[in-house]
Amino acid sequence: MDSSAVTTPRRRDRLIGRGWIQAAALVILFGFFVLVLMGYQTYQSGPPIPERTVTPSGQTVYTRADVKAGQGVFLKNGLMEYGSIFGHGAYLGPDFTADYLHRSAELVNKTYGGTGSGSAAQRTIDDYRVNKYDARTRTLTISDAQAEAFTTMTAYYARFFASPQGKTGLRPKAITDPTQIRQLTGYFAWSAWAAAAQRPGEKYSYTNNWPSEPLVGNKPTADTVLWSAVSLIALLGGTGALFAAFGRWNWLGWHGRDRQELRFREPGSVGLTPSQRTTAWFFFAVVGLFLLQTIVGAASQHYRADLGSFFGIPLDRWLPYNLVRTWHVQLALFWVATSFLAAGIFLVPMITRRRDPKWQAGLAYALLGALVVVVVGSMLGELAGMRGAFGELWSWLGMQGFEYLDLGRLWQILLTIGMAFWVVLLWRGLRHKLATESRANLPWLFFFAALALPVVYATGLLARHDSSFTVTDFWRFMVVHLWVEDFLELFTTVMVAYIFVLLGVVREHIALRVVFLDIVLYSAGGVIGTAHHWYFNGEPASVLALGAFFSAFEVIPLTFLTIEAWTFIRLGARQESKSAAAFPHRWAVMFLVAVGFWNFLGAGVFGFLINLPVVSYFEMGTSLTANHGHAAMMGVYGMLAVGFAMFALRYLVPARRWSDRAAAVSFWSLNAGLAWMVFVTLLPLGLLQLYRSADVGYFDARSLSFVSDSTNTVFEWLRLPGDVVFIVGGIGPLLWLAWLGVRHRGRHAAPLGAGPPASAETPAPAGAVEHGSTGAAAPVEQELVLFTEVVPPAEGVRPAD
Amino acid sequence: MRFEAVFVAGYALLLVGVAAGLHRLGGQDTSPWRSRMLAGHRRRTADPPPDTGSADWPHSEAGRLHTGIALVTAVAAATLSAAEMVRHHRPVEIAVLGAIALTAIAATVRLWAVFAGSRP
Repeated sequence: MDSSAVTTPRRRDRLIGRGWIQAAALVILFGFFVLVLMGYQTYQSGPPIPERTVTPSGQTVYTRADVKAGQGVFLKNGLMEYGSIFGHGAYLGPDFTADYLHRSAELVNKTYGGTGSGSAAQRTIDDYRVNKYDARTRTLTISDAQAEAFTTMTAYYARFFASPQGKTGLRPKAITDPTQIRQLTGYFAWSAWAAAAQRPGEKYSYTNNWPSEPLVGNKPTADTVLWSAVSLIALLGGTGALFAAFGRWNWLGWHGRDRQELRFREPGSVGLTPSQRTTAWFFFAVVGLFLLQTIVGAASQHYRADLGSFFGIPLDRWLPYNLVRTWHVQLALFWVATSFLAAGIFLVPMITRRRDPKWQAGLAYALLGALVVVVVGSMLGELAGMRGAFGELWSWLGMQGFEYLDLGRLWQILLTIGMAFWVVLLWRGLRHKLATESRANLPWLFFFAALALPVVYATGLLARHDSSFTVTDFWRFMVVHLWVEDFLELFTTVMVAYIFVLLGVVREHIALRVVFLDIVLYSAGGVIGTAHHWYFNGEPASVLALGAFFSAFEVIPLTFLTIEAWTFIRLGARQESKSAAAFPHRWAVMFLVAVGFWNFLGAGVFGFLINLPVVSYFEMGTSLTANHGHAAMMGVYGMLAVGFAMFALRYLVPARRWSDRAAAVSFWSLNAGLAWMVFVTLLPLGLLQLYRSADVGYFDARSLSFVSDSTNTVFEWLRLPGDVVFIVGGIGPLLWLAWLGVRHRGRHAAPLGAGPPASAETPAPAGAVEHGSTGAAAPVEQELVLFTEVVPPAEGVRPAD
Repeated sequence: MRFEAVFVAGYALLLVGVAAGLHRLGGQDTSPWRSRMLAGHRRRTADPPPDTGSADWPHSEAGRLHTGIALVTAVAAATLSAAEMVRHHRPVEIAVLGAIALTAIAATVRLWAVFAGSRP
């Protein structure tokens, strides 16, 4: 007998066909190959920053150093969380590209005789559209009228940013240094030049003629219109093709009859490992951060309803809009990510059915402590950074300033290390299981999906404050899009699929097909589709075309997987009806139902509403973007994060203290509050703003005077009841349940290993029922009891799926 | 009618339609077995899966979620119409917005009855 056969556990066979793996590998390789090509184009084709911008007589107006320093002033003062540049950023303040372009063009037009002059309009257009950048000397020549406008605009921005009265959402006297004001104006002037000057050899500007501005002849390009039409066709054709193929071949195979029986155990009878019990503190932190996020969100919303004061309190002195908006955006990522980290830690012992490795709970607490340090440190850094603290180290310790990557680089690095540390924790728990599994099976996919999170997040470190905006935006969207919209989505799919496998309602090989389908569909649309953020930020037209075409495919999996999720859940219903014990995860599943609803509406419908280039051209940076952002981020990831908390808290809180009513109030309040926010304020305001942008102009639609006019103000105030329901009714009960979790931390649970070991007489783990032993010579250790007992079908009965 | 009143009237009417659509969608049986998409699969499989109705959990709750969101949408339509009548109240504006507000209120009452009546 070969002794190695005894000592080396045999890996369990792959549960999925080779074709799925090959398809996933090919699509991923293709997607990332194109993404790398677009990255190359980003570095090659972005608008140049001239060494010197001069008048025809050779007088310097601003320099490359001014533009770069101006970008630094823009970022460290949190202006990307107030207004936007190239359409990217926050929505209260103006878009500074469009603002400079419009105001300076008006000044130039006036210099040439104004509206009364027949030639003024054409001379103005010529000044802006004719590209007088000399690549050999790296010098840009502008007209005397444009140089004069620069001086006037510098004085205008000095008044705007140094205003002692505030009333703009910014801190009174936010920027007073004349040098910084001049640099900032130089930065805006350069972005406006790139928005209007024609690319060499082309008839459109570096930004594909964005923004719409009749004064300089900016209107949608032929590419913008053409690729919008192609994008629509891609969506319709792709959806039809996928559904037709699915109907023909029934790839996923879960529509058949499943005869295995499930018996649910009471949560109190399931023992918890020490690391699982640490997650009570994680989930308490999750709900605390969620509450804080909504409170600062309410403060930022108040600025849109009343720029003057907060019920008589001059809030802008201490908590200006750009600060509360920064915290609102950062906390959204923090609390959702913390819930995902906790859910991962909680699931590992359920996947392996083994006790924790040594020190696992202590390391989990260390991770939580590190997260608290990063969250508190980065938020205080942003507060101090916007007030000019940290000197040269502003981008390291203070406000790095890129929307969604606002935190200083030190905190960004620590957060990446924290996530890597979390992957190590998962690996410690999983390694015995991984050693006995094929690398294409669920445990490995769970590990790979987790590993991708710190890796993709780390690419955000390549966004540098001193790089050209086009380049920084490329790397910023590696996090904002690729990390949030693709890899978090993948990790979500794996987690949800695994939970359903552990619950016993879906067989492992079917869950695997869903995960691989998800990889194929998201990689086909999502990876290249990242370019839908780069239509107008200085990338060439080819990037616009790729973004428009492939991002249309992103909607298809949202539609398809939402429909499939119903089947997923209905299988659970069928199984539940057979179990004598009540299904303990009613509200966790309900939050997953809500995820499906908002995934389709918020990510799919509202996302596609703003995805076509020709719509995005007029819409970017309006309330329709916020409409999509809130419905998708809270509706999908928020609901999911709360669902994970509900799942774990059901075990951490004793049955006698658990309140289904609290869970129900939270569920309905969060959904009703979110629906109110979307339907009463964000969607109608966005539609009005889009109309205004197309009718009057983008500059006007983004101006403070329009945003705070009486019509908008009514819509903004009407949002109040929904927000109160969301915060009080949605988060209040959740905070109570999370507090109960911390108070009890699963101490009531049955001792570990109280359940019978898996054997021929007793049920095996869900995934093992149909595939036999998980390892021929696994060490003899009593397995942890799972929440579901799977009873295999009677002899001779074959599953029909 | 002024532009703002026309916009709100149109939008509120749209919301009432969305509410009706969502409620109807929630009541749909989404059985993939019955779906026309799966016609090919149905032909090859003689043995259909055991049926589950729209009253079975969690489909019943999914239906409630749709009805709940539809209810919020109908209340939103009524609120927006009423608020607009306070701001703009020429006779024609009152007539149009009032009619839409009444429609939204009727939808709200109906949806509330369904929502409350389906409480498990």
